[in-house]
Amino acid sequence: MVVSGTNIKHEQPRNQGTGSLLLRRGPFDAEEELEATLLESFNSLEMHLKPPFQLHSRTPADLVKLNQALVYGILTQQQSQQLYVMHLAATTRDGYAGFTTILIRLVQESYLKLLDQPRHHLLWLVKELIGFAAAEVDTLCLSLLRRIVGGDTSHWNVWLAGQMLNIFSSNWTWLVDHSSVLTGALFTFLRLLPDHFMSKSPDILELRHDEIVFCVKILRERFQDCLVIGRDLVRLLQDVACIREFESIWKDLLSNPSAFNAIGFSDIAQLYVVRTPNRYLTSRLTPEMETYIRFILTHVQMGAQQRYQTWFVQRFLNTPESETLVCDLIRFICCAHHPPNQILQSDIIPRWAVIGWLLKCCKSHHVEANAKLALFYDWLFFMKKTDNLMNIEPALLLMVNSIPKYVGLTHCLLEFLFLCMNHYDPGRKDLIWCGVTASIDILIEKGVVQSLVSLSSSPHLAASLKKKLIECFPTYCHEAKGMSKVSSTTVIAVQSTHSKRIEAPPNIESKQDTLENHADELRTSESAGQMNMEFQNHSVGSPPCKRQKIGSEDTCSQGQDVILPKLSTEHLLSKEISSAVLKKEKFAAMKVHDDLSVLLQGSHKEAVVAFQKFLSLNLFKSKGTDNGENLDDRNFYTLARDITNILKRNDIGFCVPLHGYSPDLLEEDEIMSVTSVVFRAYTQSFHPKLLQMLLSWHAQGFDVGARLLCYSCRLAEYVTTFRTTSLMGSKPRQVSQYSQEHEKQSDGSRRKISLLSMFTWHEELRKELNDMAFQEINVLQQAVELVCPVESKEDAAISMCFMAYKKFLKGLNNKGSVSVEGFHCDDSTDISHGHGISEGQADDLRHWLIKDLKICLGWSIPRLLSILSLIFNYLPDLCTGDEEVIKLLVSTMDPSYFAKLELKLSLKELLIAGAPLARVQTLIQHSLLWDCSEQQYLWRLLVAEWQNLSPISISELVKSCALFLKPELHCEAVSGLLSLLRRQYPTVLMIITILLLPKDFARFAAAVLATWMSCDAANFLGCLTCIVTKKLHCKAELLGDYVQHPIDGSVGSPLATFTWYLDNLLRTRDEQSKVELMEIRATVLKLKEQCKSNVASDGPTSSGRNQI
Amino acid sequence: MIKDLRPTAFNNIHTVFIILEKGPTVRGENGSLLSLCLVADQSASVHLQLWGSECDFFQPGDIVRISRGIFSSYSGNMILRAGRKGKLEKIGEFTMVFSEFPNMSKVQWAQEPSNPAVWIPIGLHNPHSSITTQNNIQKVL
Repeated sequence: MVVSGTNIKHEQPRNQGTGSLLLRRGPFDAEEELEATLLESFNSLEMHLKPPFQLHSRTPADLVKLNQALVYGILTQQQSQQLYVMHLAATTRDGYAGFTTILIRLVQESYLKLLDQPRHHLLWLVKELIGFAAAEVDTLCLSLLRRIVGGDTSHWNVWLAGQMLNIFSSNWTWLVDHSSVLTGALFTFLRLLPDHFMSKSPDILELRHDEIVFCVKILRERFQDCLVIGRDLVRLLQDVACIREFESIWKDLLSNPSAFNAIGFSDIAQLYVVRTPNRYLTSRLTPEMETYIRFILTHVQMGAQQRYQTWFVQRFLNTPESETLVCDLIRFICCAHHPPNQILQSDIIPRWAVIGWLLKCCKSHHVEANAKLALFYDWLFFMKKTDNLMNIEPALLLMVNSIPKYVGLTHCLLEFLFLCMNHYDPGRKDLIWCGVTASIDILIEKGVVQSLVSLSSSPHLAASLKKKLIECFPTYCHEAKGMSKVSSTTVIAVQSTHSKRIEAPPNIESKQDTLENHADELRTSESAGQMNMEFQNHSVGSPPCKRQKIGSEDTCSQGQDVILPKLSTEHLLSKEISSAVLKKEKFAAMKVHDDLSVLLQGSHKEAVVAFQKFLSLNLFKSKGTDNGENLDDRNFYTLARDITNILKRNDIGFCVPLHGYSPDLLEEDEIMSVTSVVFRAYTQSFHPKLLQMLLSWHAQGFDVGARLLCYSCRLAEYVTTFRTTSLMGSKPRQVSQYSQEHEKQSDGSRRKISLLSMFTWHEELRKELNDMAFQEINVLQQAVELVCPVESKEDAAISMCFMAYKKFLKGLNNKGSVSVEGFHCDDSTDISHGHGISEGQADDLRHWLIKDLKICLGWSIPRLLSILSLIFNYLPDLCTGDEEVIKLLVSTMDPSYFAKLELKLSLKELLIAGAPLARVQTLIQHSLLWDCSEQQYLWRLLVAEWQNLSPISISELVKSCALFLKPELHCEAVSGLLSLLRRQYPTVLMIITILLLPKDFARFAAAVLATWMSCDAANFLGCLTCIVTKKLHCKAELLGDYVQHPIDGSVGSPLATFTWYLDNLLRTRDEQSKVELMEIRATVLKLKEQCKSNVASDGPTSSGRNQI
Repeated sequence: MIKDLRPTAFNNIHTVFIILEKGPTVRGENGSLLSLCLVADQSASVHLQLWGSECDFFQPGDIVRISRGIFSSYSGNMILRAGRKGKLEKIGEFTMVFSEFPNMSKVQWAQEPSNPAVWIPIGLHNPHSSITTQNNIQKVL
């Protein structure tokens, strides 16, 4: 390869620091913290780095130290380098992640100071790490790529480029597997090529050749991967178009897109409309450049920037070649640095001013043109749905604010913009016109400027430009009158005259007399429903009304006569007509593929936001009630599968297991993930299409139900835990704002925020999603809130969640036959009253619920327990009394949860066994086969639940239990029953019930009676006397089924055993307390007598019958 | 903070600032290299004298930590320097906000009547009373 390490002359400058061989340090440079740490670790461990290696287990802190020592050793020690790498390979326990992370930090913070030898060693080490398939080595490569500076052909820069190219070329298979590195490298080398093309140096000549081969290979073989880069790929390709090898690429891009063999790629416009992820644009600035630019834009006041600008130029832009960096800087400022509101409102220097300065730094015309293109690039292909206002804002503000002082700049920018609109890509002029008009629309709609009047009527601006402005954007160039009116329709009008590719609906072409007429026509035009909607949004006086948007959408779907050439035009007019197109091929896999795989690049958070956007675009864009469409299961299944495939390819998990659980900490996947986005959308909208998707995902083996259940329970947990705090009274959104203000306060409030953001739309996401999808969700939510008999919004939200879950379960049940009908709020009664579903259906749903619970069991027992304690509350119709759920509960129970649950049961916050008695009886009967501890837990819970039960129910229960319980066999159940009865208050009914127990329960019954007697002897005596005097034990209505077997007083019966107990007791009591006891004994004996005679005469039966 | 600098006979100044401008390097009376800089932090600016190899090393935009520095009269001007006991260290670049006014080397100093050892600045409040820093440096040199 080009510049091999051995060709470099080693001039090792003397380091004047503390003897470190790693970083270059001047006489007055402060010590670098990282270097000091690495050196210290090396010095302390050096002796142990040589064989024999100590492979015994180390503490995490030791491992960190070892990694630090090895980094230092490998980078600085020529002789022992190999040995240390061996040591590293032998001792790493984390797939080199810890080691590589140190290297990444070193590259990011101190690469410029690295001495020559460590630089060589570092690059050698990267190759080794790739060979080891080390973790994070892709990030390390990207950090190193970032260290190759654009517009710099100095020795070390060219050397690094050559080394990296060498590494990538010799590890092609690895590179192909790491598409972020692949595309990052392509982006870097495409950017470097023009620099290297200017140079005559032989080193560079060779490097240039290899760079060309490398880039062409990627473009030809891996174009599919390159699509994620988006429009800036075209911008860079433009700069290399003059290189012979790229000519054919350009030819194919423009006229033979299929040559790239990329699925779904059929037109260069598909690249144009993809906003380039920030990481590519940021990667073209070194970390220092990024820090300095961000510092200027966040700390330096307008007017105080002069010195910083001078320093910046001296540091980074002081050679003629470095001028090309201006384009990279402008792209970065427009796209990757978006200041928050407090900065925008402060006197910090705005972005447009910095860009103005950068433009002034350009000396050559070529660079200046490229810089202007960089500034306007997002304008040309702006799409309301996917592009960001902040990307296009600086250009307009720069033009407007440069008048009158720098009117030349405004002049030149406007001229350039018009030039681009007509000549950037003449074949796709319509797309560009659309983009620019959409940009102006949104800039004015959002109030970045009030109108274009300051430009169109400026006395400083050339008349020809003003005329052009008025021609292109007439509505924004008139003072006050009609301002911001019918903007988009105007665009259409202008467009349709330009457009040869679009067969616009005839009514648009035929009536273009006046704008008003045009608007009227559109208003009644069915086929232009979408435009109609746009018009309404822009009409004077009425606030942008999203509901109208939804309303008019349906009419749009019938307008199938908008015939569009595939894809290119779909993107072309996406803003206006794409809804109609979307209707046609809404669930076409290709569409999903195009949009999603591109969107999902970028950081995790970006991907989540992008996914949310995607959802809103693809699912909510058309209303859920359009029954007419044939959305069969297969479609959903394919769509769902495509989405998850794309997610998988992007390393984004979906419905992943939640192995951890902490009541105080939400896992990231619970709150900020594709999964949570889907659930949030589904639980707040009940969108039938989303439900279908969820069912499809379930069918494909994702743990959708379990995750949805976890999601719902987390919300419920939030409300139950924070119900009492003062925050809870207000609306969720207010709370979340409040919480944000107090973010740093305490763990508690942080927890609130994290929980809150789960159930409100995340503020950031919310911003991204200010489209109708969100509106629709809100409307639905409000509707449900009105119907649901719940006190507060939180309750409504939770109810919605569980309702949504139940709806999902129902869907599983009717798999294949679920209708696509919209969700009706009357289902909401399900959850609040628990009687909404028939018992048969409940059984089916229970089956699915149990499956989900078991999945959760596999993930984490604490999580399952928290879920279990909640679902009895929120899904009572499915859980209460259900044997399997209860079994799951008691088999996983731990003492702390048990205590909580016991309290809840005692306070009647939930029911575990519930009614009816028959079911409970079966439950107890079946529980006899459970483990001893499970039975104990069950009975303790039952006791807690039943302690306030009416005597009648208890009596029934005892009677029925006595039929199948065997005291000597079923010790857990009997002792459970005993503790239940002991807690009861003695009443006539209860005493009779106990006395009626069969003989094998004699000791049991005596124990119960003994307890009652000891806690309230007077009352006990009263009851007994009552029974005896009124002969209540003979009353059939009290005996019920026992009427055939009245109370038995014979030996071994409960009554006899109790008497025996009383006798025993009397022997041990002193005289005074004997009095009451004697009385009780006398009454009991009397009762015994009566019973004996009853049995003898068999009297009470007939008399009892007669009474009935 | 530079604004809190008071003339002193001791090496007791520890602070951090950014170098805004560097004057030409000249030979002092005893043959050593000298260079005068304008340095500032967010509270104020002051003239810093570099000595010997410091003159070559430090550049505008450098963020510098001075320890055991001294702020005293030197050839009739109040300047900050490390002196023999003190130390200058470059700890960063660029990312520091600063205020050029007041320039502590340009304010007038008066002894506090009750305690002549304490010097108090006069006219700190009026930034426009001092002429531009570039001129200041030239005048000093």
